Amino acid sequence: MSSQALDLHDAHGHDGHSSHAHQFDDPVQQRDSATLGMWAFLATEVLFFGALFVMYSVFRYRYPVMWDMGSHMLDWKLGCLNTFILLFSSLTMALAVQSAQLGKTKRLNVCLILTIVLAFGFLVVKTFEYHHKYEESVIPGRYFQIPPHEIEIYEKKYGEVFHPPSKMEASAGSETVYDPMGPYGPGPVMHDGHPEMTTAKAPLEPVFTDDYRKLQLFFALYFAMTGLHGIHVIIGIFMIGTLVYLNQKGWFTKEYNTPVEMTGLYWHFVDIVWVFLYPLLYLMDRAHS
Amino acid sequence: MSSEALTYPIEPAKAASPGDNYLTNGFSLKSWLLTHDHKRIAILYLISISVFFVIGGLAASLVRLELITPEGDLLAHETYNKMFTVHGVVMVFFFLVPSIPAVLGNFLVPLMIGARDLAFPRINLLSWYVFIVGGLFTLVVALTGGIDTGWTFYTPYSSMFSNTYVAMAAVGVFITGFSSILTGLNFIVTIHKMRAPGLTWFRLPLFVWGQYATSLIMILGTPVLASTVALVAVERVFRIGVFDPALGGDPILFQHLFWFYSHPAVYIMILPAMGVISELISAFSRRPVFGYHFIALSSIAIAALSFLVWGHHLFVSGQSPYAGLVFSVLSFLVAVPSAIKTFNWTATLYKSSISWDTPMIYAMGFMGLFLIGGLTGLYLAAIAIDIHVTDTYFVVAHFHYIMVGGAVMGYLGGMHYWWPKISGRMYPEGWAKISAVLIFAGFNLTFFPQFIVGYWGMPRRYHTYAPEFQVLNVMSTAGASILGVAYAFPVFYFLWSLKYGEKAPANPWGATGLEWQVPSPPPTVNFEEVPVVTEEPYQYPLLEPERV
Ligand SMILES: [Cu+2]
Repeated sequence: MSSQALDLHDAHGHDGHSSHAHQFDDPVQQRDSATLGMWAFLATEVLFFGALFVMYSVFRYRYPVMWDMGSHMLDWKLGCLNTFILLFSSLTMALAVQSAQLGKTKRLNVCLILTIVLAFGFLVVKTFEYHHKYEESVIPGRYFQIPPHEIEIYEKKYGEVFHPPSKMEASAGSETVYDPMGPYGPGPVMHDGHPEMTTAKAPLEPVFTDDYRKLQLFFALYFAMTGLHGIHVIIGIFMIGTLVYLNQKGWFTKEYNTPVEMTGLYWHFVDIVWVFLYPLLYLMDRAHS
Repeated sequence: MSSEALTYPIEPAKAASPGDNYLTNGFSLKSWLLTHDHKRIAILYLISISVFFVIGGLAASLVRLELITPEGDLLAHETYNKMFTVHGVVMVFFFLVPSIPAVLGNFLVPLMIGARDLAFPRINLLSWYVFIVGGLFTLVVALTGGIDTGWTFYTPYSSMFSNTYVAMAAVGVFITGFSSILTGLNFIVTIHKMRAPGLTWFRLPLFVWGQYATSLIMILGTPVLASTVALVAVERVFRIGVFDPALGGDPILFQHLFWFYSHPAVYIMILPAMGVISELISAFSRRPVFGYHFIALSSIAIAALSFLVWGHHLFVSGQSPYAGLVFSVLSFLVAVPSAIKTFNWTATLYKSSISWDTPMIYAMGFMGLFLIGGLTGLYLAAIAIDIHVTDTYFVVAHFHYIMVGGAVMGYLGGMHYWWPKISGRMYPEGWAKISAVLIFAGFNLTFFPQFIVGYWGMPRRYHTYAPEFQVLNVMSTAGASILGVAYAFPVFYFLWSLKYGEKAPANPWGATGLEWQVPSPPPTVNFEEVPVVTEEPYQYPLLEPERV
């Protein structure tokens, strides 16, 4: 995207009287093209995140209780704080776009910098959350662990026993537990050594009972989704930073402010993704209580 | 035809004088590697995908050589697995997907719509670099030990068990996906916003319609593949189990997501080829395309349907039989827009004056091979037959008829047709005809026996087979040898023609279309003045070809 912004500047800087790049007839065509390009790019982004949302939905449907527990283990207050930070940054970004359209470059500058500050704020909160999970070793993979008090809360809430993986007892986090080649995973459904062929008899309930690994899946998707979102926030910071730089060089006028508008579209998209991520990841356990 | 139609702006283009075309606009390496000119970027793509074609072809040759005998005597089975995987990955992601869009599309879309360049020239260059970076990853994988999962990267084998460089190959495919997305995005914006005055949607060349439909698939399908292969790499490195049943994950989910892109990807390969064929059929039968609107809209219909049929790859994977039923019916539906195209091309040919230049031989070859590939696709869409032939050579033969018999024939036909425009030189017609006929013959000899041997039950992806299949396999390998030699011809005579070929006039075929109204090769700016289009497309008979 940043290079798209560059495209739009093609002839702007070095050619005094041309306000648009050579391939366009006029500034209007250039602006229309940039807008359509950004929307098409956002369509791509929706599908990019879409795959992860599909994975989330499939496993949430399959392992609803563990999804509940996972979302209980996330700090909804910090998530809420971050939601407000991002929503507020969307406001400052919208004001930035408006300032650019009105040609108020000073106000534009302030709004852009505010947006960057808020974006950093979001990342700082996120870092705290990640760090907390790291300290508790709630990181999917070899060293994944569940804090005992979370298991207690779970067993109290559901009156059920939390199923650890077979053989995990004292050796939580040791290599053997997570060796996928090992004998612990039940693997595909087999009867008498033959794959189950008839669909009529196929069990509707998954045969998988290991809560530990289901929960690990939740956190795998949590880190994948928020991580991808976080990368988008970082890219956004670079884009807005570029705008600040260009604005100080006096690029943006009432007539020419397409890059600000495009970055605005991108930033609102980043915001909207979070608006979906927050309830799906942090508030899921509230559905029943 | 309205009276206005006669005012189609056919100015006899001025002869290209040296020094004023895109090829002579700078000779330094930098002038190529940092160019923003869509025509030069097309050449960069042409060179890079040709290299990948050779790599993929060599891997295929080893596979075919191994299969001469039923025993595994040439390659160890691990090596064999790596060879067919390299062949698949390279040919699909690094040759077929970029072939027509990134080479011919890049070169022609702006010329055909009367634009000075694509909407975002820098993004266009960026997408080539992204492609190269992704390609380098894959090359490193191929050179340092290969990958043995097949091009489909099925989990959990790929994510947990394979001892080859899966993560790096996945990263390569991930990166290359963005090149495809950026190209598609550029085409969509360009076609929407940069058409010359008077060039309405239904005056667009059908090649442009094909590119447009392809671009839609590229921007909507590719990101799903990107997310999915990225997670395969993450799963492999960090041992989280989204796709691994032993860790609570779901391998079928991987197949759903993979085919959500990879079935439409087949149309990324075939739709641009169909666009090329529409141009060729019309130009060499000197007839307006019959049913223009139907062909144009059938491209969009194919693009839309392509997203609804992925489940036909999962008939035996444990997908619900009811879902299978729906996917089967939807897959049959794809035959409708495909048949619309084929019937309309045939109607265009009917009682027309056909000239048998090389591009036309490819076009005719395409129609025959696509017909067989398409009809056997109906066999595979029928669940009962599909269960019988799943993972046999029948499937291999089917998709090679579409992807090689269709997409590669279209690509080569287009390369011959527009070579005078691209290079400013005519290729040697005699050699080109010989190679076109050899390719057609070699192709059929290679892949038709595979239908039979597959129907008899020979499974794919094994380096040994039952002795009774040997005769057909020897035939197939013989055909592959012919194909290999025939594919080498164009490389040599195209290069030869750059120096010794006759100088090409602006419009050697007497064809319609804005690209033929600029000199060959085109000037860097494409059009000195923005052309104004006042006529419907394909108004043949037009000029006699101005042969030199
Ligand atoms: Cu398919």
